[in-house]
Amino acid sequence: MSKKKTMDKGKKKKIILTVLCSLLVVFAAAAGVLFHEYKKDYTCKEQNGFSMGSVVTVRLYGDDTFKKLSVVKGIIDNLDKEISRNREDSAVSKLNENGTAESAGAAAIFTECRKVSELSNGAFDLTVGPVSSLWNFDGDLRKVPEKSELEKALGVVDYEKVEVNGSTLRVAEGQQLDFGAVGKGAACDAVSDYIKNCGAKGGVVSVGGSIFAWGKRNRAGDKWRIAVRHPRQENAYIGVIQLSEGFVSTSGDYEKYFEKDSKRYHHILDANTGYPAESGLASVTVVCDSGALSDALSTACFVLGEEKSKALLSEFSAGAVFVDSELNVTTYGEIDFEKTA
Amino acid sequence: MKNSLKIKKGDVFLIAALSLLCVFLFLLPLFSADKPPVASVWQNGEKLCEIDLSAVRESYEMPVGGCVILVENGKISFLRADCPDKLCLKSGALSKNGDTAACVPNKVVVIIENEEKSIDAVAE
Amino acid sequence: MPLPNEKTKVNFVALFGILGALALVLSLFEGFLFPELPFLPAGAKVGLSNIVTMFAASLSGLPGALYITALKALFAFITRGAVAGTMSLCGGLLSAFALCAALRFRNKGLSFVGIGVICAVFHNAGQLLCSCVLSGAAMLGYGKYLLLFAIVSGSLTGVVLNAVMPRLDILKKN
Repeated sequence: MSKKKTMDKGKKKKIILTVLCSLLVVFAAAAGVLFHEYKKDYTCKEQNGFSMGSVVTVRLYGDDTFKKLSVVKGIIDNLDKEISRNREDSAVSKLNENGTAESAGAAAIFTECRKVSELSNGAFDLTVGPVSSLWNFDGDLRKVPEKSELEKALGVVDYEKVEVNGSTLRVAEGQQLDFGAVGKGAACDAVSDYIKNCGAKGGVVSVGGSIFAWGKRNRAGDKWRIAVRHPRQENAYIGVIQLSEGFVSTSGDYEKYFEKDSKRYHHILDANTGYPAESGLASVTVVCDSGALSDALSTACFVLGEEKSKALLSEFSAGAVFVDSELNVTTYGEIDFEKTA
Repeated sequence: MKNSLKIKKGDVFLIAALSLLCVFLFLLPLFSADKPPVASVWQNGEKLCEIDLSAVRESYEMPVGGCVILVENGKISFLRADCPDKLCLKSGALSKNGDTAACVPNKVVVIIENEEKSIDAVAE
Repeated sequence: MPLPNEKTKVNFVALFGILGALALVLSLFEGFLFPELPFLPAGAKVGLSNIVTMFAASLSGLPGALYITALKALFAFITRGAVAGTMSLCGGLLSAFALCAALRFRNKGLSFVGIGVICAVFHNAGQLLCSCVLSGAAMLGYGKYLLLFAIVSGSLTGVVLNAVMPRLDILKKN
């Protein structure tokens, strides 16, 4: 027995070494995998629905229940019932018809957006309704309105004539309030409190392309990755914004438009001229801490153009990604943007 | 000592074999790094089906609500829709992770997604 | 292993009482060491307490292993709920049978290291099968992690038993 032992000594060493090596490999693999898994450990549940005439996507992390979408949809539907122009019984429809209406929601949104109108010298204006009705980008009338018609409609476009008193809104004769430009962002605002308190550890809500992101997607706290749509290609991204919390909105000339005499007529109107904004931009994406503001700012910046936007954006501590019609991309403010190769 | 309790050959072989199997299992996903696009079709907020687009050999049409979806090898698109705006048809063919097309009036959404989504949302 | 005679019955009962307690303590300890490993199916455990199962099995064969298994499952059922209890039972039963089969090869090419790995692999396989039944075949994706942990924890268990067993052989003669 003892003789055999000494004979096997070399062999034994080899065997032990082999075992140790294989264990080491396994441990190394385990460490790598552990770290990888640790980073993507929250479960993610996603639901899609429709509200406010657009797709609503709710993606929650670290939450096992699947019933949150109906609540989110309910919140957005309730807001829609106040501010939609397409609903006859909405507060805004009543306001446009009677000249006055009660709506705490609409009053709050208007007050918030009024600042953007002031600082953009009226380039962004929620009372642009009569002009957009003439263009009718929602229907299939593909024609440029008469100049005289536009000028007449422009006469009543003036956010300063709208009075807000508590939750009472009052508009001047002929004025039409249209929350279309900020409704989706306001919807993100409306659901943000619920998302923060629904028990999930993090979440992203998209209402027709206006986005609210909050919380953590995993224990490592990786940032959210919000893609910016390519303005000239369907289903392509021009880049990705990374942020840990905030609201993202994009205004682009690709959403609703028609072309006539090789000219692109898109739905983002300059409230001062009544014509589609010609600022040399194809899209503007704004990141800030309010949904209605990010919507309003992206519209205002699109109308103003890149240079004039900077003062406006700094006023709201917002960041932006500008894409011009030659597809050059520039950013402004503190924004973590990476262009797609 | 009655029992010689040293590591034996069989132990080493066993551990080595299992370790190899283990390493192989962990490396498996690397060989399929280009994850196939998986399209999911939703209606009224409910997921109707998931289609592995890379596994589609012959293209076929799939009617959902008032829409007809064309499923092809590697891509999926709206073929027809009875809605007035036809925006879904303009989305073209979806093939990449994160691509989305929706027919709002019919409440039909098509999304391409893999397990590891790199994009959380698209601002548009 | 023959059944203990009258003389040693008291010793036997006392020993298994201690073993049972040890298994539960190790189960608890494991819970502290790895609280909810994110990549294991809910309720699955690495199986440190297999060390006790193996010791019990080498003392008295299948009955000893089943006794420890049942005790652990009951403990898991009480402290961590029905799912964990079921998983513990599935893993424990499968590993107990595999263990007794593997013990036949003891000193015939396998030491406790190999036996421990076999025991752990079957323990985790049982848990995996159980979680597949409970939550669907997608759980199979956890297989590789469970295999990895079986190799590691099984080897550790075996190394410990290899070192301890000769010194405890005295218990058998009592």
